[in-house]
Amino acid sequence: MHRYIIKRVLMLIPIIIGVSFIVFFMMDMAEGNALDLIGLDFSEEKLAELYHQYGYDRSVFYRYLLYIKNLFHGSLGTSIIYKKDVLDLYLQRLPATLKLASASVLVAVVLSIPLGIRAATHHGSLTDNASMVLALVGLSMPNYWLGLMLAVLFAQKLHWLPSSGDLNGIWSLILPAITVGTGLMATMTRTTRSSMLDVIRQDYLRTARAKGVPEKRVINVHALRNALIPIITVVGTEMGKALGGAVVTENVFAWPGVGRLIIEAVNQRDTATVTGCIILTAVMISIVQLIVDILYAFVDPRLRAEYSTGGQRSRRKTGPRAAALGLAGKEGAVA
Amino acid sequence: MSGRQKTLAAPAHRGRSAGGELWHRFKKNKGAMLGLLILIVLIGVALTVDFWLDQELVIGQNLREKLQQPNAKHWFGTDEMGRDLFWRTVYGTRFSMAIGFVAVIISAIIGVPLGAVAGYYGGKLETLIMRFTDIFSAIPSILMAIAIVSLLGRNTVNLMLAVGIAAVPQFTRVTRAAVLTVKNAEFVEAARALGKTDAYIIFVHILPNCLSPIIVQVTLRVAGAIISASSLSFLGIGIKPPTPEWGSLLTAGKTYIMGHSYLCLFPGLAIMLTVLAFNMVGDGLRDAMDPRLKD
Repeated sequence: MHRYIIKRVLMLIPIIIGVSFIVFFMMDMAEGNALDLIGLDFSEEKLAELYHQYGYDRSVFYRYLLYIKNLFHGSLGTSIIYKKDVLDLYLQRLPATLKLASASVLVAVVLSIPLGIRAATHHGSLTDNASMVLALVGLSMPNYWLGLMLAVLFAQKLHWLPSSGDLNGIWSLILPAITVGTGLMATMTRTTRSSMLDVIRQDYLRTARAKGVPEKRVINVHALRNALIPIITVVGTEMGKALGGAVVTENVFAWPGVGRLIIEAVNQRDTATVTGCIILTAVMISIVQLIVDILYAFVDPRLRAEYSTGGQRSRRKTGPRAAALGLAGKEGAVA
Repeated sequence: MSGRQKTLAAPAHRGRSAGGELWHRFKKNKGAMLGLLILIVLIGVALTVDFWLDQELVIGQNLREKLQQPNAKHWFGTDEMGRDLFWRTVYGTRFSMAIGFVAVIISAIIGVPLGAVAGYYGGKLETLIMRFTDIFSAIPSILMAIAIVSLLGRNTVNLMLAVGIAAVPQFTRVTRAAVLTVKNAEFVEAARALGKTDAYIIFVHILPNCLSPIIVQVTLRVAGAIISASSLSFLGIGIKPPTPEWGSLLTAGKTYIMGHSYLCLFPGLAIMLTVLAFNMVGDGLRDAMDPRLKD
């Protein structure tokens, strides 16, 4: 298990280098640069000096190598625009993003899993059809549009909730969390339902019923436990999405998170900030994935065995994660 | 939803072609049929709107009628220039559909061959392609698209490229997985024994047998692309107003959202309806192509 975790953490290194390469070059080669933006009123000499200081008088490869060198020394560089260390900037914005992501995942989990289970146990019923239609509608709504409409209704018309910023504690969190949560909920409900439907037909559930286990226990313990892997997978992926993809929602609600920082930085061609934030987002998403993979082992003893024994040999290419998906179904892989 | 018994009791009908069988199963799914109907109408509108819609209705300004709430004359109301939002939304179908389809064609053109090569050859080449795909997809696709637009510059073509490139990993993965399931089939071996080239085998023998997951992916991805493109417009890095693309209509309406929320409501509903239709058809296709996946 430990070896597996170490291996996964080491795998972050190529991801960091790859992501930094892609993003750095794209941002650096984009038209205009941050120095030109802040240097509008500077004298020629001052500007030339700054160009030299940040390596803009050399090639993009030079700047990239400089960036990588700093990266290996643990520095993500300094933002030209904000005049601050990029890591500090990121950490300053991270709590807001984490808060929003966890709140939306929480909303989604609390609503979607019971709904998915009910849809599966009442297969073909009105509840089932209605929840599937709702899920599909939720999946099809542009996030930012839902956010705007919620803001119009609850903030502007009814004056129940604030529509921007994070100054009103939990009240400010409600609308953004519902906005992000709706999309997540749709996927989770669908996955829960299809995973439960798979399990419900298994013989061991018939056995459990035959030996007189109460129906509630059959569903909530025997079935749910076995249906959990695709659900966890989706919760993990969706958490990742919420961490990296709430960019648009953060902009709708003026939420002071990482997503907004990235957009501001992109508009100001602040290469160091964009690259740094995207690297850190990618790392966060990878960490969530790793936690999901570790959770599999807690849910499924078969996988636990695989982690701790000769898993490396037989599963070298696929890894326990793929094995888990293979074991447990398709919606997880499809979604 | 017609229940399992029916599916079990109806084995593949003899005398029906594969396409006919697919259609037969697809047709039974009411949601998918509804989605298909909506799509046919939308695509019809997108292709023909230039011929029957008077441009004056779309761009003609009439300041005396500006910012009117929806009424009998202007079903969706009018914007700050007095332009009729209904006709602008109808005209916008053209942009949103085009962006969705072109973006997905771009992703498929890059992603499918990559996935096919990775799956077919295996070994180092596969590792290389798949690791690169992993790295690429470690960047959330919306951020990827934002970075690409800032590199290439802001216009419609670059928007399609950005949305398309950002979705390449999904196609690579789906194609590779599908190719892996058929690459050892006997007909592939037979083709190889006949001395066909690898490229011929991949494109003529393997890919046609991998089409179903790819087609499903295309349908679902068009939906995703329409949302991504409109999100970029909304963030101010996609299509600029006053082009009546749905995302930019919404963005333009955002300025007047206080008291004129209909300016954002209707373009958003248009996006939702379109995406919903694609999702319904995609789901229906998936169920029809692979009966095992049917709940």
